[in-house]
Amino acid sequence: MSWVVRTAWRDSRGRRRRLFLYTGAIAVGIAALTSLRGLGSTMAVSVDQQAQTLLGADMEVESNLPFSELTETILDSIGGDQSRQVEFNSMVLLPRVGGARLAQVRAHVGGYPYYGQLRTIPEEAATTWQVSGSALVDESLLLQLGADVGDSIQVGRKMLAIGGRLLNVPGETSLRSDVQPRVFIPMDVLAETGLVKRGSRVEYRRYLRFDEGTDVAALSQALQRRLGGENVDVDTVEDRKRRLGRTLGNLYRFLGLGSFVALLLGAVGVASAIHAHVEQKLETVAIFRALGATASQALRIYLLQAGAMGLVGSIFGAAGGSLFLLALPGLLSDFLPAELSQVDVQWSLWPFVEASAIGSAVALLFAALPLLAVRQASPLLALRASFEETEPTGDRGWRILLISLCVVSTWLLARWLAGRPDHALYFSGGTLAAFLLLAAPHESCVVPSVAGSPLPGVLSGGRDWPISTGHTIRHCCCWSVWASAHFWSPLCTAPRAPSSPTSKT
Amino acid sequence: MTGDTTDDATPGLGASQVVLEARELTKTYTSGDRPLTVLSYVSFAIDAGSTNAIVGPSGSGKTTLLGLCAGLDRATSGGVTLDSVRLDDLDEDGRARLRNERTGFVFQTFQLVPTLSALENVGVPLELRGERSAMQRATEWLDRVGLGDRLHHYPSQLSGGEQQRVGIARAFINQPRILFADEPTGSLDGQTGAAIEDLLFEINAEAGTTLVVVTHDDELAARTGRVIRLRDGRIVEDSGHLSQDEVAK
Repeated sequence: MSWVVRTAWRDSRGRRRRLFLYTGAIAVGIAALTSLRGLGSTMAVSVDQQAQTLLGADMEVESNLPFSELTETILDSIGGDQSRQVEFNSMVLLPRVGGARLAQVRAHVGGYPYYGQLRTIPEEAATTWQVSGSALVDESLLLQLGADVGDSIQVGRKMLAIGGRLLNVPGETSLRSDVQPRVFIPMDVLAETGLVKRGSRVEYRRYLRFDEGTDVAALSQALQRRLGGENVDVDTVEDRKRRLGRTLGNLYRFLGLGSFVALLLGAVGVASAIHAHVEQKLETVAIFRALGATASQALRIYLLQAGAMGLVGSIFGAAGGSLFLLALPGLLSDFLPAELSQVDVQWSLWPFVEASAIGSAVALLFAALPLLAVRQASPLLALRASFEETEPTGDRGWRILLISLCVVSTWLLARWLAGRPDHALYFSGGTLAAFLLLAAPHESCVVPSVAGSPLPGVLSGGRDWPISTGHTIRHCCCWSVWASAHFWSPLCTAPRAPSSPTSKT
Repeated sequence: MTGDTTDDATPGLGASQVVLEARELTKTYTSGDRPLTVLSYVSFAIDAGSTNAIVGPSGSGKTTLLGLCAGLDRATSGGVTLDSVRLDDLDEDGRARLRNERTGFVFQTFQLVPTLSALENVGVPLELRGERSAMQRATEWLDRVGLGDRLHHYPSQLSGGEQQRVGIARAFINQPRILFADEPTGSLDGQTGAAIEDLLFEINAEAGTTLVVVTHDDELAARTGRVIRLRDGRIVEDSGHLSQDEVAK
């Protein structure tokens, strides 16, 4: 074991607890990173596995006008199992409790869903509701209005018995039922409701299931060609997978940038800890230098300590993130289709290693800036508590290099997490602007302060910051810049996410 | 080591015997906007194996001179040759290696690393060289200074006198050609200081090391073979070299 390694270990005595406390900062960022990356890969596998269930059929044909005769003829000629659905929004009334509520009414006929199943209470209601002529009503609506199975519900002019509480529809999130509760009614009572008239805003759907081995993609293309002028959309499992993948991708990007902020703050935390640590160690460095240690040896002692802090924090973070990952689908269950939130979490070693490496590298990079003080520590400090430097310390180049590396690595990290260079640019630019605002001396402009003293307190040498209105305003400004860059950049340029994975954009 | 061997030793002294040579050393700091010269054209040569004291009032430039001679600092002008190596030709790392191989330091405030045990503190100079026997030799040296039973104590667990003993063991462990001591008894009470003085001179005599002591203490200075007196950054008196017999008298 080299002297540097031995000394790094020995020198940390008495401060290990405090130093490792700071690793908590990086651990939080890495935990967020690990869990979100893990969630991403788990969801990708789940979407693949559950794709048919998410659509509930092999193909969906949709239009906001009643299907034309030609469309009906073509669809009837395709064969396979088919279901029809007519969907519209309407007020529904529960006479016993006297409550009314806007709901999404779906009139159904046929065996949809062909993949996955409606979950209801009682369970058998999912299969008997059409035959019995009753309605399935979202559980949230029944709870809100204090109604239950067996009560009546009035949809337009038609009164139906509530045959079951609707818990889940394949491919739809439970959050959706809170916003827009669903009421399923049999198709043969639709006319009696009197709600669908000329000018009503209605979605007409046909769900199709084909025999195994049918080339659905080719069939979809052929249908789209034949129905080109009929104002219908044809949607297959693959289309749904793509759209859901895009929606989840937006979600991951957004959450990923949240983990980026946590990681960045963690890195600043480590840099801050190293800065405070080094301040107290300059005399020790001077003693080592007087006894013959080179500047590089002295620097490596503290780089090693910073690297160890980053590594330990990252490993703890990655472990914590992996555990959190187990709970994450449950926590996000309101925002995910039930089929995805109930899947088994896929744990693998690679995201763990990846996050640990990233955490260590980021911690090391951000710690390098305050560690420049070690490189510049004069052995003369062993003789005198203070002295005037008569020669330039020559760390300006290093400082600029390290700041540049921090900026570039921030962009690379944002690029990696956001998946798009423009998002990364907005975000890292906003972060940089926030830091420059923090770094700017009170009276001077921003840019000249960069080379000499890049970051306040934490990274630039611990200047005191008097509390004043100006500083308060500046802090508010910079956090606003940062927050804006974070929250708006994905939203400004991302493809607009659908309101739910089952709605088309 | 990249420094050249000197070929212009101070006239009148045998070049082979000179272990330290200062040539017109000047050190100027900038205080505010004005230059402040703390050493001005100081020249002297020190023979190998001799004992020397640099004395003078506060602010006379003693510690500055020590820092320059030991390669801890760079002169504004002039030069230093240490054990035939010109310090001015060395970069910072070269001077660090030279200090490790050929010099020892005893500091006024001991300057032990607080997180290292006595044994680890003493072993640092040899560990820096990569010597495997560093801890064994450190143990021997701590035995030699009477701290064989305090090997694993930290500086905060040792008295001032004990800390300075550790400092002396650390200074001698690498068998330096020259040992620089900055007010070695300045932080100790009279009795402890006298014991440390005795130990320092005793070990120095055994090892045959050249000793340069910076001190306010005339009694301590009187135990050396040569006293160089500084005032306002200039040498105002140099007793020249005395033999051991003359010192004893």
